[in-house]
Amino acid sequence: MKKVKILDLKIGSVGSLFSALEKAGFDSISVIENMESLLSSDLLIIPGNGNFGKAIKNIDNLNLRETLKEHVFAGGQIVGICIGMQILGRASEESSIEMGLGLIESNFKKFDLELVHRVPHLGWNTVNDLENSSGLSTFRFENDFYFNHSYFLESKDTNYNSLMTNYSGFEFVSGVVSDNIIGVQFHPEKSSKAGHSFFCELINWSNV
Amino acid sequence: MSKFRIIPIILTDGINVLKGEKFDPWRPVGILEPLLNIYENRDVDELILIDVHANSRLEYISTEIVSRACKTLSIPLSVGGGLNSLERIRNVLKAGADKVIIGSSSITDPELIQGARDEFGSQSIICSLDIDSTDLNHIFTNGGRNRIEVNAVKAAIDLENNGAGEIFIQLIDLEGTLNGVDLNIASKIIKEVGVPVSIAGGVNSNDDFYKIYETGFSGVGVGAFFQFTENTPSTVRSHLISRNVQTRNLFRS
Repeated sequence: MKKVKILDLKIGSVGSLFSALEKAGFDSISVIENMESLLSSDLLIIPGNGNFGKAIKNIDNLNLRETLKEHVFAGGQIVGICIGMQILGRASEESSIEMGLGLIESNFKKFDLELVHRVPHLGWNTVNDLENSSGLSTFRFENDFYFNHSYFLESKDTNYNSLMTNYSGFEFVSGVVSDNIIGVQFHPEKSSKAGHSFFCELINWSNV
Repeated sequence: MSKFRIIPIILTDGINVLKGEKFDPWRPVGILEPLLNIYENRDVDELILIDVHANSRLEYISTEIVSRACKTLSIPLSVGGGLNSLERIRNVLKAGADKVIIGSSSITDPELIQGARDEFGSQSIICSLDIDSTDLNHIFTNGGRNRIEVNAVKAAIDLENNGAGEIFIQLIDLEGTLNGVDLNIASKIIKEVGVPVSIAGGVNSNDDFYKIYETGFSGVGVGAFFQFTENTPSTVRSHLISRNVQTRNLFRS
């Protein structure tokens, strides 16, 4: 049974993610708004589109902060997409008050307009893991995914394998992969066949 | 520069696909869902779907249509039509749209854009700027019916400051005409803002796509050129690749 749970933080919609997971072959997909039914064996996906501060406020209002961390420490798996990845980090320039979960030991910084010329980073771009350090072969072949963000992961966290992207000559970490956490800055649920390939690989990555 | 995006535009009344010309008149040319399927299978970069009758019905683009479209598509979808309140924008984003396109209200209701940015983030907001391709001193609202004496560059800067994550310039004198794009005025606008800017109106050749890319636009909206000529996103993409334009890599495994 290929099982996955989507944590709906009410920032953006979960419909496309749901469809993408279905197409990839997950046969049990549930959308949850709290952690009550979550088992430590579960694969949890956190999508998000919007505002880091708002996402963190929603997490704290639902008392999810410690539960999410415990889920990981107990061996559970989390995949964070876009804002879902950013909440796993430490701090973000997008909010001076709210702090992330710190599961990725790095901060999020805004793109420098002088360097990249247009912000947000909007459109398709290549996500590279040419040496296949992550084990996700989708990223070995210079596949493109859809991006729409103004903040990016400021530095590598060596606890993870990094996926890299070049925007206007500026290289940044567009994804992180470890045994129990994946964070991607791009939107695989909006990335057509490449995204589909990523979701299929999640089935193998998953411990479920 | 990000990779150049080719974005088919579909105009609808909710059921039928419409063809416009210079923003008027409309004639139905087919049913919506099959066209979405065609584009989904044609490796386009994104889609824009606008209900052009919504305002006159005092409504907004149907959330039912948006959510059905999102089930068909695995690429980003931006939608517009009658989005003049936060509640309408919220409903449409919740139904699955990635971005909303806000037209007249971008100009007449700046607080709406600010409120939308605060609630949904500027990356969810495209503000459209309707201009005549030969005139920098006026902009248009209400589907091209109202002409306002405002400098188009200033209008674009205001849109960015209010929270637009992308500006979408529509050349309303060229829209639907297949007469060729004219970037003379539009090129003056993109130099003055830092957000991505796309453009639509009149494209009639592969070279038009190249010119738009070369001028610095991040994407091009395409209507009549795909719907009424033998050109396809693939033929345009091949042409651009042959001229070393960075476009999306198609999937490899």
